[in-house]
Amino acid sequence: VSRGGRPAVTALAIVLCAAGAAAQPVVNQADAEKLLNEKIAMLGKQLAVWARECATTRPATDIECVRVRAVSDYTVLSAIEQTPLATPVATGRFTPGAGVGDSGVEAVAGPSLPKLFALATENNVVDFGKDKTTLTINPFLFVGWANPNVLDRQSEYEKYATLRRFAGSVSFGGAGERLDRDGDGQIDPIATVENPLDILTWELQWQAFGTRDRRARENFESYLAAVSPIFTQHNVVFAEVLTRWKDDIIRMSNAAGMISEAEFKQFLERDDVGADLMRLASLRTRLTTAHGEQDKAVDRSMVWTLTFGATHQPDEFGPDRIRFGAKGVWGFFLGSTLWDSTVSASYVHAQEVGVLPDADSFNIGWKGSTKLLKTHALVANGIDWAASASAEHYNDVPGAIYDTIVKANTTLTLNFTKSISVPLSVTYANHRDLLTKEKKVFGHIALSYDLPTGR
Amino acid sequence: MAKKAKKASKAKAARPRRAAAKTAARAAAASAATRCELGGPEILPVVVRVPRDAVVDFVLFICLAAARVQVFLDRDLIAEADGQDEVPVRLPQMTVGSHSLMWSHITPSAVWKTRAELASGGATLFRRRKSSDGNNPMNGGFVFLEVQP
Repeated sequence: VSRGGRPAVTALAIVLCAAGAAAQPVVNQADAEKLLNEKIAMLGKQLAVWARECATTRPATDIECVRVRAVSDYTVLSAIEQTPLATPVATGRFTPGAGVGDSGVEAVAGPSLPKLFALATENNVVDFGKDKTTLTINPFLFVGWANPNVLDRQSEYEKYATLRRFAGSVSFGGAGERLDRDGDGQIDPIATVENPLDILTWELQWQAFGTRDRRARENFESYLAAVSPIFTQHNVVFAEVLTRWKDDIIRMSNAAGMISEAEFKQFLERDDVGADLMRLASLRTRLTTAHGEQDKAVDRSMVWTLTFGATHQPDEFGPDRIRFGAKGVWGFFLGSTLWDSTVSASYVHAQEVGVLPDADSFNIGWKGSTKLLKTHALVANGIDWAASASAEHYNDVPGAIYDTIVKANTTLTLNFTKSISVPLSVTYANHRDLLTKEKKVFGHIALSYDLPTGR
Repeated sequence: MAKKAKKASKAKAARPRRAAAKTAARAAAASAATRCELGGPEILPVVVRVPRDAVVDFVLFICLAAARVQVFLDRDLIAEADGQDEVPVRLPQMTVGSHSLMWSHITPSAVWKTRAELASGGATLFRRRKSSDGNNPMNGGFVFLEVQP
């Protein structure tokens, strides 16, 4: 120790340092990105808090309010964000080298027949009821199962835009109807179906106008028109920030391209980096908001579906019928309140059977609903408002009490908690007995309590 | 009574069959891999080193969604595409030194998957997968490039 002590201690120190350096944790790209995103998300929340406080309690000259304005105000954003983008230098296709672009290989093989049956069961394509079997026909679903590439690849998906507008169903079997076929004033016994093929009901659906499919070309284009400007702005700023960071990041990397976790965390705490992250946080908040609003716009767009169907059955089970129907759904603003609404109309013609003549029934209806208040000190789960109106007309329909029935209802539901709500409703009908035995307008107050959950 | 018992036992027997069918369906759906699951394990360096004059190719696969994609090399937008299955880009000649590569996408689709790859001279240098199921809110990624003399 006395003679060789100093070199021995030095060597030990070197070994310990080397061991320390070797044990220093490093992060890969995914971890680095996660750390960065967590920091941005945290700053985004901080910005939101500051923005709220600056709008109410804090003076405009407060340093944090100045920061909020600096990152949130278009006019204050740096000139970089306003710089027009250069034309991309490479947008064409290329022949990929090995390891990249193995798109020549089909993504997956088509599923086997047992898998197809399993998928059919899972998706309720075939429903085996008590005495009725219903087959739901969705041509695109079958195409997707047979060739998953049509779901995977947008280019393939778009080829089937027309096919996706058609659907249908076929039912076999069922029960006969309760009818007075011989006109003796007595309901005849229900005939038993021996052969499932005796009663056949089918329906064809055509989505004639509009779509809420977010992958549909028209929805994608309207989404891009609304979201692209902020998307590009975010990317320009992010590219600029990464370009400024590149030397520092590369300096902290090892031979394998990983970077020191400690150094990267320190880097993210730097003031200049913090300012970059805050701008990104502000842009991401705006991007997320624009994305959410546009998705909602697609979800409330107008869609019209037409249906045509029929029931074929021997006379002892009931009359043959044909049906036409139309259904429209859309969301609209009444003042500043968004209403979800549905309009439906249908016509059914039943052919004569026994002594019963041809019969027709028409039906048209509208229903709408909205959330008037999301939350309040008194009604924690807000107030819902729903309204509906319908008109029905019957010609020679057995069992119909009136030829014409008109009904309207509006309900205001006060949701005090998730399980306790008080609906206040007013209903109108053109025949008194359709309400109670009292008046044509019936008021109703009820208290509902969710018993099964005991809440 | 006997009929009822027979019915109940039939229903009981049908339950495992239905459960098995559902399990098989889930397995089938899980095995229905997209192109974004292909290609091998992820390769995740933060910094990729390439020699000068190397030809570097980047590709972003988009699965199950219609998306707009932008790719930036340093401050320059080098590729932009709408609704494509994949966006392949041959990086322009880079000067010796450090560079940053950033890609990003937006899509209205609730479900999406991506696979980003960087390759040079027949070797894949970087491979990253993302999906709408992940907890990473950034629809894109970045990697730094060091072009060596």
